[in-house]
Amino acid sequence: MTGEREIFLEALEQPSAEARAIFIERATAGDPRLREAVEALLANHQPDRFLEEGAAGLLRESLGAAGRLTSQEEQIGDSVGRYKLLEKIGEGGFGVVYRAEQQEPVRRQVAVKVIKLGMDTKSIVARFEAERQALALMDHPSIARVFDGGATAAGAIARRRHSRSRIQPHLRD
Amino acid sequence: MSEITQLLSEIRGGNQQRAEQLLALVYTELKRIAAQKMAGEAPGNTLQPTALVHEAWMRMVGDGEVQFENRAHFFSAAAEAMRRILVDSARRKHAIKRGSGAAHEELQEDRLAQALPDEEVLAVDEALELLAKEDPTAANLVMLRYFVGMTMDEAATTMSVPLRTAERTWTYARAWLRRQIGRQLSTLERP
Repeated sequence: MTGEREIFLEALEQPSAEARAIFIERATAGDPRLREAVEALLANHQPDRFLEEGAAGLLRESLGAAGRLTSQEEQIGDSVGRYKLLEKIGEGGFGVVYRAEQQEPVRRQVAVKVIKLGMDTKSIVARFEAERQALALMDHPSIARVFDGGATAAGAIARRRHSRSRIQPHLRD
Repeated sequence: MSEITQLLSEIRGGNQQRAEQLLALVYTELKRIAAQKMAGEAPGNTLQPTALVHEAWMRMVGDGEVQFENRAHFFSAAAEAMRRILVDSARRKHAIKRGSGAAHEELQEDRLAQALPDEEVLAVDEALELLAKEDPTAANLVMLRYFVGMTMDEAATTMSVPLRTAERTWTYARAWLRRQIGRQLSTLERP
């Protein structure tokens, strides 16, 4: 008796949804569990990127995790979350600001501040969080809005809309 | 015959202990190579699993004549080693996220494709464990592609199967894993 794998693969090769339904009906006749299993496989057959890109993205972090202090720094060309770091544009008291390209959901340039968590974890993150909240409350055209925050393995990010005219004053520590 | 080649041929003979020895050796070698690469790395370079694994191959087996079966065993061991490294890392990240009290969304089925890498790795790892029991060939293919980063061509060659066969297996394995992860998730949601 053919298993779910063969039926699933052959079902995919049917020329139409109708033909597929007929085929499945015939191939799983008298076995509702098998039919359900095949239907579930078909439902889970999706043309997205699941598994396609591999787990490579994690590799850099994980292999370097043991005894890596200085090399934990972000480098130009790195991707941090959904942002690709393009160039360093400033250095604050507890972090580095990069011009970065956001990939998703829209492609655009932003300023990304990466905090070094290794330096003084708790107080830095607390200070950063306070700053983020304060920024979020401000509504002034020349002050960049903070859209989201997040943590990477190396540090925390506050994403700000990149101003082409000048660096935001509060970034100049 | 080198030590590794010897090991490999013993694995072919079905020696499970040798397989575990190989895994331990490959695991250590991969970490060593990675550390070296990270130390001397130019800015902007990324660490590709395939490159790491191939380097480990060169160092451990060298350019001697190696039979296809032996090569397949080596790369399967490398895939398993890479899997362990990545899963451990994903677990640590996951634990940190939970411990910090940050709002953590459970992986939702429909978000599977956009899942954060560590969540996906953990979910895939769990599902893969089951797939390995039902269809070891399919699981092996997934490991070579997902954890070693092989292309379909490379994986097919390594496994000594026609490309078309590998593609069909891949199609099946993806659907199978997604279906399984869905089941895993609904188990979590049950009160």
